[in-house]
Amino acid sequence: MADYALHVRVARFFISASLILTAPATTIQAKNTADSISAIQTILPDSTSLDGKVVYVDFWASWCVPCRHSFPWMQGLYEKYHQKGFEIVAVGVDKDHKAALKFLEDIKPAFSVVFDSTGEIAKRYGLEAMPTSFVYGRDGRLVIQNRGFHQEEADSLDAIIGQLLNKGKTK
Amino acid sequence: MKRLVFFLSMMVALLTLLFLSGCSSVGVQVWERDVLSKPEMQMDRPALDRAIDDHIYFSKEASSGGRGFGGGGCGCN
Repeated sequence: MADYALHVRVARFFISASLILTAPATTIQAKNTADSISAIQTILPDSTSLDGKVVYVDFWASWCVPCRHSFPWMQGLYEKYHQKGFEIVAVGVDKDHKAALKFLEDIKPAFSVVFDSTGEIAKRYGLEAMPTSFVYGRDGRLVIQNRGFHQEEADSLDAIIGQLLNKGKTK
Repeated sequence: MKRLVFFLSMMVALLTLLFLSGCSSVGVQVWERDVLSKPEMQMDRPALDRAIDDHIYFSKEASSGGRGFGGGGCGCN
């Protein structure tokens, strides 16, 4: 009888252990954060409003070579469209904050930059490549997600953003 | 004897659990590749060394390619 009780206890332990150990693999991902702009709005300074704007969210890192190429392009895009209601939010995922600041010192972007050194935001957005960018329309909904940075894709993104800006007026 | 069988079966169960949990972490995430992106983390050696090695594999084993998997790199683009 005592053996039976012990067996049950041990079996319970193993079932619990298996559930805990395999949990990360079996966790069903919640609704994708990237679908709406609201998640990114919460990490921005209060002064930056994205309401009614076309927003380009870019995940970057100082060690990512294509990110270095994308910044001058984003800067140009920002200067071209900002007056029409266009915002860029660059999310830096560097663990090494000094390296991120040095990267920014070299480029000096005019648009908003936020830092995600723990990777929490990147995880919520389910990044699969560096850099990854998300374009949101004036209604705050995701229009396009782009992995990596290639000049030919950048040109088509420019055209898409131009079209989105022409769809409505700035609030 | 009964206790030994019980102990062994528990050990097998524990090992099985450990193997199963091995799949619960599927490697470095793309935003965590800062160290892997450093040049010293690349598995490719200097080009001449690589070419000589490739020649040996091709001429002696009739095999080629297969480079560029795993190891370093920032995983960009």
